[in-house]
Amino acid sequence: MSHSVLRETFFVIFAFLAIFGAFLTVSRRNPMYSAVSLILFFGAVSGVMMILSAPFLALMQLMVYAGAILVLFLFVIMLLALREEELGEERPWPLQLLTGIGCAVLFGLLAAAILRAPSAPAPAVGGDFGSPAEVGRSMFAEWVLPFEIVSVLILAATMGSVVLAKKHLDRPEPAEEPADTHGPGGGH
Amino acid sequence: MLTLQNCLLLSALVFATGVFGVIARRNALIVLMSVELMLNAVNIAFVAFARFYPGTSQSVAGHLEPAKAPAGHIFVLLTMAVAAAEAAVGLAIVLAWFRNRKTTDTEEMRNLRW
Repeated sequence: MSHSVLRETFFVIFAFLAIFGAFLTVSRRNPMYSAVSLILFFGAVSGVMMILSAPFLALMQLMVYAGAILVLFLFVIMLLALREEELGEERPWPLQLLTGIGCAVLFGLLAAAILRAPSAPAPAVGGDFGSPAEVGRSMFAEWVLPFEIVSVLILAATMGSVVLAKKHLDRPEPAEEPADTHGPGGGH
Repeated sequence: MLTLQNCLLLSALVFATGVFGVIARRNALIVLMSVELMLNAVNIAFVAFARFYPGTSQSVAGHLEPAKAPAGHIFVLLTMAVAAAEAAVGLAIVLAWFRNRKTTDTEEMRNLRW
């Protein structure tokens, strides 16, 4: 019994941390603070996944989102090095308020649909539910075609990002410092 | 407390927050982060459904048994791959845009060429 109480307590804690992190992410003016709040959100979602008996996905959440995607965001934020005056202006507050009300209505609609659904108790699952071995077996036995298609997608995205982010595709990058052959007393 | 409905409510709230970020913010980086929020909300819903309705899978011997790795888990992994690809391409676009226009404001992104 105490095991289940502990699990429920941690679910509530992680859920509130996730909501808090999500709110901070969309409300900070500086993207750096948003990215740091996103770490909190990803970590909390990883905890929720762990409580929902998906240990492999919880680890993947940390490795892929907090480890790869967030580092990509931080790299780009630091590469841009936005100063305070470059952050641009925000939308006027009546528009933001209107959007907030619209999103609250969206959440209300979703919640109304969710609360009408039957709430079944969680079935008991074995200790290897969602383990890396089981997920891997399922992925390579039943879902191998989507897996292969995703690899093609990632290849296309990789090449697309390189093409988009490279400075000059058609000319070679200029040399850093042209060799100064006419300088006085060149050290030949 | 740990019911399917509560997990789905968490998912819906995070999704609505992401929608707010996409619509109400003008900084392209924060818009991309809000898209990540929405994708994560869907992941929470997938994992919750996988936990409460695991379904069955065919065992090696050929008979049906409760699934140990439901389809929802596989879907979450595929979503993560798509999210990573989306983030890479989106950030590359933001970077190329900033190099040309010195801004990350989505209101300035009105034309395809200049």
